[in-house]
Amino acid sequence: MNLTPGPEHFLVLGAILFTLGVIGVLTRRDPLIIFMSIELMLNSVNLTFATFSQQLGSADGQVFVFIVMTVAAAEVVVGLALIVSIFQTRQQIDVDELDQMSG
Amino acid sequence: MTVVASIVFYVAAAIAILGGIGVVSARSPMYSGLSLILTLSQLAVLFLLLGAQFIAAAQILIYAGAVMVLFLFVIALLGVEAYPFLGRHLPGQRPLSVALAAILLAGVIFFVAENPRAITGAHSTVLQSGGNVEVFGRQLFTSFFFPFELTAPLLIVAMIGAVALSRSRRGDTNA
Repeated sequence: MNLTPGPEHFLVLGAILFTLGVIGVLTRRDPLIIFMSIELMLNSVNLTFATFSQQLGSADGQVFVFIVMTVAAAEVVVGLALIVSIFQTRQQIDVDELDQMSG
Repeated sequence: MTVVASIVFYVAAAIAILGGIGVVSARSPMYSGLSLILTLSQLAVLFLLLGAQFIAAAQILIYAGAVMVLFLFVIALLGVEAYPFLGRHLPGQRPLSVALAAILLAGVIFFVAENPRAITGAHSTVLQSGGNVEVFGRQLFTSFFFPFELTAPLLIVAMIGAVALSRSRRGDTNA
């Protein structure tokens, strides 16, 4: 086994972080923690993008990371505003309780 | 990679994974957020190892700086005590989700292990010549100029949306 970190080490690390994010989304009930797990998943994908970018010798992957960061920032702003707004009207937020829109 | 770079990689990777576990398993959202900051800062180190200096700086400034400050601010605003650890789950939700996530991880690792050639493309020296930020900026303002311009309306829309959502409504008694 090759211990010198190559691209596959970075990819496996990205996979581990993504899996942790998936576990967080699936198991937690607190919307803030679910949100942070989604951020973790986005970041693991960014790591994968940067790895391929370095491996292919092209800056395109890094541009993708930049775009993902911008979209994630916009998403965080709107999502946190939504959570605050829900909290103001409901006083408690459990994602299982937010079922007004189900038919 | 040099020996020092290898050591830096393993230390940063270990801290990043520990931080990720902290995000998922911490009881309080505040500890979750602090663990996430740990992970994000270690990812910046990994970006540096990958030769993506601009992305590493943006990671620290945007994520560990702006985004996580927003997160921690909202957590503090809503009050940590307001979140009891809600234990109501679907039957078998936790073991099932961990098992499904393990299958996902195994699939990705299997792919990486099976196709070592698929991920080692032609090495070119584009990124090595002339510095990373210069190459990155040239790509951003030539090939990806339209997506780059589209981020401006995206951010404006997000900002307006956040203001509209958080504005207290007229006639709201508990404003």
